[in-house]
Amino acid sequence: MMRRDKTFEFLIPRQVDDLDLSRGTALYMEDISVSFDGFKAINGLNFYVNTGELRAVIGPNGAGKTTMMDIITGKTRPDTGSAWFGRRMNLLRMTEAEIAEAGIGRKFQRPTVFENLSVFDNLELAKAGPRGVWSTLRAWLTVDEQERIEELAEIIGLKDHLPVLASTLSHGQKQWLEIGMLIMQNPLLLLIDEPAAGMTHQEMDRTIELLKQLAGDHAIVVVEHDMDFVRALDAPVTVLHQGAVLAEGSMAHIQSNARVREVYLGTQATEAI
Amino acid sequence: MSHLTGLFKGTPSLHGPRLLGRRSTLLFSLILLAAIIVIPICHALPPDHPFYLGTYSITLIGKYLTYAILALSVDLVWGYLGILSLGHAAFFALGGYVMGMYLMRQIGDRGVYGNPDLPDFMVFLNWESLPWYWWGFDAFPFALMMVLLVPGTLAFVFGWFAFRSRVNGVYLSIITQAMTYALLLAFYRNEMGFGGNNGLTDFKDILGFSLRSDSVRVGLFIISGLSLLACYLLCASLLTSRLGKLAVAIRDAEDRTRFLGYPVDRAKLAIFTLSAMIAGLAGALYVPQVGIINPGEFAPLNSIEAVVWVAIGGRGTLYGAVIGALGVNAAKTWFTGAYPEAWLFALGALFVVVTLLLPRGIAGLLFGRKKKAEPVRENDTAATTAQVRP
Amino acid sequence: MHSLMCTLLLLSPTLVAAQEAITSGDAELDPIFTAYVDGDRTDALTTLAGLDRGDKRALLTGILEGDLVLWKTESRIVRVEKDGRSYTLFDLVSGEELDTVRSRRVSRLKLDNRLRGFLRKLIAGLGLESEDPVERLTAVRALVSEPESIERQRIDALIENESNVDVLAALRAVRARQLVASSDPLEQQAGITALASDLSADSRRAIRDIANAPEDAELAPETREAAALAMVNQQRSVERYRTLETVFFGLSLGSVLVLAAIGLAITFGVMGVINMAHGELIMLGAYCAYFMQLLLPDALGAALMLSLPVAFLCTGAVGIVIERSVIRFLYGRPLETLLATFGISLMLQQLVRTMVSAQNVPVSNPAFMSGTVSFNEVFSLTLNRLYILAFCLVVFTALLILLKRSRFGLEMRAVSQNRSMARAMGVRSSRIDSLTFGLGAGVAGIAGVALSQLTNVGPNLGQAYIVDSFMVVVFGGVGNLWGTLIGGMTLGVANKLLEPWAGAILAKILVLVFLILFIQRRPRGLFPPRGRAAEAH
Repeated sequence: MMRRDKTFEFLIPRQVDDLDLSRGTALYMEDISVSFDGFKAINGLNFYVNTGELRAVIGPNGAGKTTMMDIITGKTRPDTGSAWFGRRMNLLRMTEAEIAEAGIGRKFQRPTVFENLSVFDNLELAKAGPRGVWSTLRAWLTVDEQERIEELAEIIGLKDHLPVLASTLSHGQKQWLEIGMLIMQNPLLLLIDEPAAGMTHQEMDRTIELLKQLAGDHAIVVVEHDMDFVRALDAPVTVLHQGAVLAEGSMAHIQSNARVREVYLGTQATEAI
Repeated sequence: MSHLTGLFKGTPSLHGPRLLGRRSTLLFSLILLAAIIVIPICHALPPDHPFYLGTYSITLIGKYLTYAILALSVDLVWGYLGILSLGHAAFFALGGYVMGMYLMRQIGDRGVYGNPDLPDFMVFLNWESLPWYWWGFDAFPFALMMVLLVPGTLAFVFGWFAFRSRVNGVYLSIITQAMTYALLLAFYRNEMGFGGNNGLTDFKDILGFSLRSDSVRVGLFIISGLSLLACYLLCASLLTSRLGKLAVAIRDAEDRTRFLGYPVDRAKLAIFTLSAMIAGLAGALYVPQVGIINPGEFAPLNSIEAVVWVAIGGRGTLYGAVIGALGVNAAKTWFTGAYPEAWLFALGALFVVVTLLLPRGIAGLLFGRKKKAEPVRENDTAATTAQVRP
Repeated sequence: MHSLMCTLLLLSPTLVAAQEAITSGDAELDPIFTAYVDGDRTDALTTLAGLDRGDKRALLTGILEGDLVLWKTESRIVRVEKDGRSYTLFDLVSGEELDTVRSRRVSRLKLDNRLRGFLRKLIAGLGLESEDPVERLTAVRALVSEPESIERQRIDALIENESNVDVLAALRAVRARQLVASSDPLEQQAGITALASDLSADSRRAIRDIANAPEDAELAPETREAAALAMVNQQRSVERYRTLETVFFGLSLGSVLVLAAIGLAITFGVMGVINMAHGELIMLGAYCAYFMQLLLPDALGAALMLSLPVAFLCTGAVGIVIERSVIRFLYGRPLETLLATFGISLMLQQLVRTMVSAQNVPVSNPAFMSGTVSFNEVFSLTLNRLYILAFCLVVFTALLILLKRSRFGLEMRAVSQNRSMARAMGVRSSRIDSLTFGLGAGVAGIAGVALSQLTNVGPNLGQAYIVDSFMVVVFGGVGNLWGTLIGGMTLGVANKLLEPWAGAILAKILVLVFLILFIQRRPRGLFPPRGRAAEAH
């Protein structure tokens, strides 16, 4: 079903003014701390992502994975620290919309698509392009763009569902739609929160394949609980614990790390790895 | 205006729900046009003819039409953008006051005190000269511009503050109510220079034609009808554009829209301001037909009533808002004539029944089945529940 | 010879009159009235005022006001009541009706302006010993303009025996004025000091008069300076007390706002339900007070006390009915509850209009609620406002304890934080919902009882408070009782502090505008809920 023989135009990363990736690092997060009511959700976190890198982030519940994504996308402001996209863009000074337009896309843990719009409209809204109110009012889909949306719909397996309301899709289909929207948005850095939840093994394989294909041109950070999925991604892994990085390295390296086994996996969970 | 042509033709590709939207727009326009033509004809019939409509009825229907325009503006922000404004009557009343100021200036020296420079109430309060904010209202084009600008500016300033700081949901509803309440209190003050408690009244002419004459009343009715049609088409074209889809997206998942890179605040601000202008236009058409505008129009109850028209007609459908406004007001007229005591009971019961049993209003009852409404509603509820409950 | 004749002629009527003795039905009075008619009027009046009789004041007033006349045919002094042209005559002492005559049968007792002034002073002097403090006060006040008309010893004696604060202050003012009027600068300054320590209107006027006395007045320069200084000091402390009073009025308004809003803080804050019928529940509570007073017209105080539990139960029950029949279908859809409960509010209003009346109904203050506590001349607090302030704090504390310390409060907070988890722990969430809503409604009811003591009770009572109540809850921060208390009090005081220079309506508008701006800056109020749960809210 996937057409590996063809490179889609919208999969080629776009150029963003002001974004300077010359040093090869897409995301810098240094010394970030944030607390809610005295609870330190993130505590002196340092986290870097290289351009085109595929990275998996794991960690027990409450390790600060989602909060970290909230900080990158501008939803939560940290108490201290700095976060830069490329070398010039200070994420802490930008709104969510500005961050998204600069090229950081996010897929939520719970799939959030626009329930009362058709699948087609969902994809149309996600499509990269001018975002201003006036240009949105006058926006007009060219035949070309319409075809591209249909092509993408084929990739994510929703070609037959284009005219139906997104609310009628199954959970897995919504996951795919959201990934599709992320691809339409064509960001330089993709943050993907638990993509495997609610997917069959077959769908998971397709997701992994898609992510690998996107990596290289796009930097991708995947947060996932499912160890099979993370192993299959075959990417460097960062382990978060109590709001800080506990260990970083290949899956094999992580699995042999004693501290990770101790604080994260515990005795019972060892079998799960 | 490429959308306007697209409204009726449309690409025959995929969009099921939108197809219904377009057919309904066409149907609505035809019915409204027919009414605009037929009702004046009925008025021209001899008075003993069974279909004869008196001037009183024409004016009454004209008034309902202005309410329908107000309902459209409420539906635009509530049904499509998810902002429940409990202060839209304020924009309506401001438009009305602007028109009232023009009509006051038209009185000239025919007031009780015969003062050519000052309206009667200013003479009564011993004011020496016309305050600066009354300047220019002798000119109709200026007044017409202000009808849109005054409510629009208030909405813009209010919205700019509110949306920028992410005041949402119930909080937003409550501060819109506070806004109209503050204006209500302010306009009661004589010092404001808008006639205090009595408001503006005793109008004589509009554009030199007597407001009492039959033909002017019919003319006002026709203008109200055409304005309703224009506003309807404007809203419909806006909603079929990508901005319309964006509005629905914001309503359903505001954060998600932000993460797609859309300037949510600005989009909301634009639609909210447009909606306030439409409400102002409705108020401006309302005042010459009822002959008075007073601070009572700012009462929070009026705003909530407008919301109820939309809820009863069916929010999220433009024709539903119009049906609701016309239906509820016709019922109100009939009830207050036949059983004045029972009207508030009936209205109150309508609120409860509609919210409990008819979340999609009359429109949902009439056309709901075609849209596979059931699963949508379930999911819709679940989504909002999850958002609101911590 | 000629001049003698003239004198005789002029005197003759008097001489004629003097020959007839005047009667009055009381032997003690006869010679006095005879002397009066003879023309010896000042002496006659002084004698009358010196008698040891209870009715002498009434007699003097009667002469002053022309109620006592001479019945010419009988040569008798009588009390008269005019009715058109006919005069009904009564005995002076017994009050027995004597006759009805034409106007020419009677003649008025002669009076001129000098004599009127003398009479007034006499009456005032008598008033100093009256039993009624109000009369005493009037009498003393009359002395202020002429402090020398009474001996110092007499004033000192009066000050000694006086118990009423107001009269005492006025007496002291008279005494101080006497001192000031003396020629001795030391005495003058002692007088100023005495006046300065007292903030009554009389003393302040006295000081002001001295400080602003014309240049040629016989005043020592030191006295004038002392008076000017005292005036400034007095003005300062009066202003201080005025501010204090304003703050009290603000707190009183705040307590009303808190009472009205606190029920809402529970339904809105804990349950996330927008109850637009909250104002009408307050109104129902106020009507409970009215009905209890109708039931117990002779024991208003008891009726008011009883109406607290009655209102709590009645409105609480109405609240539970509303929750069970409407709101429970709308959880998680706050905007829909807003509309549905607004419909309910319309029905409740119309219900009261139809069943009771569209007019306001009277609810009276029981004795212990009326009256004032005066701290000094310019600072006094009305008792009903003081009680309601205290009542507000009691209700607040009770609710706080209920929420924080009781099992019900615990379950309530559990349900509001995580419904499904609470249910899994065995909490019957739907029962908790009903009870919580009932509690909010019941608190609205007792707020209504309190409000019935301050404002008009009518079908529109609730509407006046609903917008304000929401403002208080939102301003204080949703889900936080302390926020509601502090928010309500702040808004009340702000409103009253603005009133003197902005006027009541403009002050209210300013507070509303401030609130709108405040919510923009801090959308979650003074005490926002924090943390991850708040993010999702």
